[in-house]
Amino acid sequence: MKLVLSLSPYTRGFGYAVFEGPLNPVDWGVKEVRTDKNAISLQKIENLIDFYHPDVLVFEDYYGANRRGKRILSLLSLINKLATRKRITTKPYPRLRVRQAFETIGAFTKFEISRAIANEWPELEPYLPPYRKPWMSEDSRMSMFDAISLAVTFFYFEKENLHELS
Amino acid sequence: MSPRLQNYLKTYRKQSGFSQEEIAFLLGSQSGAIVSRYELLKREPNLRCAFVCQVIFGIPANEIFPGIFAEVEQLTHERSKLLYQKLEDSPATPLIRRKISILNKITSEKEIEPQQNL
Repeated sequence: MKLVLSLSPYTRGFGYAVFEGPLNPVDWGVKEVRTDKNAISLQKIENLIDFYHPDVLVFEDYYGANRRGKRILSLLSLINKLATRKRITTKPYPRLRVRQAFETIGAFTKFEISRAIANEWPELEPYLPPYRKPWMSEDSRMSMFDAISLAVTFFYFEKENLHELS
Repeated sequence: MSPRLQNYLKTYRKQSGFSQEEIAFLLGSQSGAIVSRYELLKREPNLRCAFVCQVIFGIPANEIFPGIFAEVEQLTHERSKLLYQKLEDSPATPLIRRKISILNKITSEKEIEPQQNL
């Protein structure tokens, strides 16, 4: 049973989720970082890795990405290097793959994906951010759902790969 | 399926929606810091605490703290083997036979266990 740690950096820290197999989230949350964001975020991520000893680290595919700020792209690169140092398998997924995983259940936007996740795991419902209006900045809790969606995407495509092999 | 984590206190606490302070209150403690220490494996919960968690979450204590249970089970198995060897040398009274039967059950169940997991 694979232990997966998924990460989703945002402007003020990062969201994370730990899954023990595809149906069992065992930890989730948002880590806020105010100063020295990349260094402190990386330290907190390393703490999570050292505590959970995940088999796989999942995060957004930053290669060629231009919609993310420079600092976050840099952090994603540092996370990749940290995983290499810790000898953990990494699975980066572009946003498109996350959409592909969730479009099968009719969820296309981040809002719909977060609702679909809370529908599957009702214990996450209290964390749901409100619908984002055009003038609103993204709620920090969405980064947690982004991390969860990445973990779900991992298990979705892993199952797809197993079907293809068989 | 074998559990991957040493303890699932944080998992069940988050699933239930309780804060560390609220769990600490239910444990009869004044500070959430003790719950944090249990969750981070910095301190081992005592028996009373394990049973309170069982009552709160409705999950057996050995499933909330599988790491401690596995360690205790292993040590008990090893000590059972030693006691079994010691008792085998004793006269075969009904009492000794009864003890040997129980110890035999403990040690043989532990040996069978790996096959059952397959």
